Amino acid sequence: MSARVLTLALGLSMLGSASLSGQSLFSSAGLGLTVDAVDGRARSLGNLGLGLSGGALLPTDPAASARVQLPSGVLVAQPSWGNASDGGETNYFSGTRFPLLAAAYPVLGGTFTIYFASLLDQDFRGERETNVGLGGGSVVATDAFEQDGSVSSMNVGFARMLTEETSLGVTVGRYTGSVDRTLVRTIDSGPGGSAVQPYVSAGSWSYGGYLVTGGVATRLIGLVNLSASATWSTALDASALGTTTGDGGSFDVPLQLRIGVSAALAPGLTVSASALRADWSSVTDDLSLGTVARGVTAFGVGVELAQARLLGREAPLRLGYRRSGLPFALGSEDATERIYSGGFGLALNQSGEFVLASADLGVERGQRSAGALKESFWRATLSLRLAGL
Amino acid sequence: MAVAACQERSPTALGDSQLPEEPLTIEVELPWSEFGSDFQVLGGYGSVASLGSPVLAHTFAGALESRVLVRFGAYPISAQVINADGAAELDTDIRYIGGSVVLTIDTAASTNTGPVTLQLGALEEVWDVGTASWTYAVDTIADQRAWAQPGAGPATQISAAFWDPAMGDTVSFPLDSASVALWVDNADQSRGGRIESDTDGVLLKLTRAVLRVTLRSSIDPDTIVVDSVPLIEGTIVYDPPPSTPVGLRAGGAPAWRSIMGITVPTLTGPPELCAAVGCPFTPEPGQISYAALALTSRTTEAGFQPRDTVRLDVRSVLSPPALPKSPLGPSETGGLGTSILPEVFGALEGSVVEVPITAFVRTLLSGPGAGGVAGVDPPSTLALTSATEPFSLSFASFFGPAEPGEPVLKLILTVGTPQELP
Repeated sequence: MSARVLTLALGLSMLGSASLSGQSLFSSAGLGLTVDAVDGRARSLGNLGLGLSGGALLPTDPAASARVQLPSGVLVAQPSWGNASDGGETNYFSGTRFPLLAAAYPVLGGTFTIYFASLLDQDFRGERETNVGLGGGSVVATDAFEQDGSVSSMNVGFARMLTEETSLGVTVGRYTGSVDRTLVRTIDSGPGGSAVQPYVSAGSWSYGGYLVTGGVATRLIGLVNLSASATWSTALDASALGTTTGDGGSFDVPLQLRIGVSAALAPGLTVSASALRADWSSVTDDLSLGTVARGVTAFGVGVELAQARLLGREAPLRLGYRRSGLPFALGSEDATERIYSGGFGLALNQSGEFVLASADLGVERGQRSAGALKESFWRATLSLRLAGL
Repeated sequence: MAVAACQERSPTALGDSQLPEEPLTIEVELPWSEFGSDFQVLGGYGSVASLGSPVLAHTFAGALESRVLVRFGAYPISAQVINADGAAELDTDIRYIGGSVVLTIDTAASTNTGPVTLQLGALEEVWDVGTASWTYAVDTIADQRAWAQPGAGPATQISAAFWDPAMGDTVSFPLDSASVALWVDNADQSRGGRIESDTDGVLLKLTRAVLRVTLRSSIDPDTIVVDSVPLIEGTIVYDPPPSTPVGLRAGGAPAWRSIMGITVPTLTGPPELCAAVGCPFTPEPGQISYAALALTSRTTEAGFQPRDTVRLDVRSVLSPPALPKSPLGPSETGGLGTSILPEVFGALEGSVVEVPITAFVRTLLSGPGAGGVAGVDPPSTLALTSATEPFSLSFASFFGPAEPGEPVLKLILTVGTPQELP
């Protein structure tokens, strides 16, 4: 591996796939909100991360990396803005995360890959006021709770072409991440107006476990790209850190099955569809707060107009729609997510048939709902891909 | 990256269903018998000479006498004058022809509403500013000399002054040349002035004293120069001394300290606490949201009742066996002390005053090493002191152990279940 790719990989590993702030109130349910580590192209097409034409660095489509012909790296950033309401109060939130960092290097007749991918977002906070009896009277106490956590995975993989049209890929990864839960009670004033020290109850856990993803991708009659992948995982283990007195835990992570297809209907016009199935219901027994986990199905469809140009460069336009269930909801009713998306790509630097630098932007308008709780959001996904490093 | 600059705002729960179980906050009051021990009151800390603002008193509150002793610095030995040619010249052959002692008085802190008469005398005996008292002129280990007359006497009367607060905050004692000459010898250990009040029932707080000497030049005899001689040291002598302490006492000059041992016992109540966490219950440091000594005030004896806000501090006693000379730890109140109205020690006797000791109790519960020395238990003895020692003749008084209104340890505990995974 060249020094430049190694440097990129190390840089990515230090940055890690990070969530700077939560992006949904559903992060507070169960193990959190599932995060798809896909790039701007897949986002704008409503795609679940597989079955698209060309080489791709997506942990959900390990076989697609076999078509990556140059040393490459991908960085994905994702800001979002949203609000949640239960019919009365409305809360606003915003945040930025980096759901995917990836690098690839062609070697040994195939492609070596490394991924840092977000899987679950657990950030949220809450506050309540209560009255406590002190000094013969009643004073206001405020409980501020904050959960800061995420689950990511660090994966390495290898993919290669079996035939001119078919490739296989596999990644092996380890869960990383942690969650901090902190409750701080502050009391406005003590007897005689003296300051009362805040009460702090905190716990921290680190996540561990292993996962393997295998996939196959093929091109049929030169017009149809078909990919399928499956992710098997050990349990997601949470180990108490430091002085944490709360117990650790172990959560079953289900087998995740994905399939994706794209087809060129006409020159420059491609449609795509993808689907996912994962049954999280067995996690219910592992959750302590009574949250019910569910099996989820997701699908997405999109269309890509590849012949559009911007500033004299290729700039494919994309539209998509996606609907998925969420494994963890705040109530007894199923949670769903619906997203309309659009975006475009831009080849920033091209040498012959090789795109050396490109950017893809996806903009999504989505809604999540579960019973009375409704959440709407805008989300942008910007990915930058560099090749020939 | 630009997107990283977006404002972050975490999702906020719409209700409290996703929040952890609510902790319990409860107040507990422990009587002295359950937390206190080894109570004692110690006096003699600091020197009266350290008081920033000395006081004059004459039969104040029916009894208190207080006189101010002052010692001024070296006189000027030259003066810059204009000679016959109109040029500035240093004249080293000057003559002291008179002067005055000027006092500045804190009118707000003084008790008189009308004029008072003050007397200035010259001390006649050797005296030591650090140990002088009403009875003794010098009171060191190797040298103890009583005044010939108690109250820094006798003193040679050299001037009198009449001060009317309506006319301003300064008063001047005129001095003739002979009086000025009395204090010209720096080597004379009896050099000094005694200021006293002739007016009954008053207490005056001085903020400044200065000697102004008037000089005549030998170069130009018509030239009169007035120069200032600063006060280099001063103290007060007062009588009667405070009576033997009963209960807690803090403050005064020299200062008093109230010493007590503190333990936080295993709790067996109240019922709400026991229902939540089970009893007996030993609190952990982080569960102490607030701890304070609740002290019940008593009337301070006449003459020593505070007339301004009292600031009390609490400091750990680092080496109890070394008392009364044990070093003290840092302030538990942040150095400024707990402010208490002066009326609490008079008309409002019986008021309950809380002195926070939260950090002390948390450290105490943390066990060995928490006091900063590995393997050693943190201090468990407290000293109740004036925030500044000495600050005033007056002192704070509280009911002590085994008295009605004895000290109480007030705790606010917050207990909750440990944080668990979602």
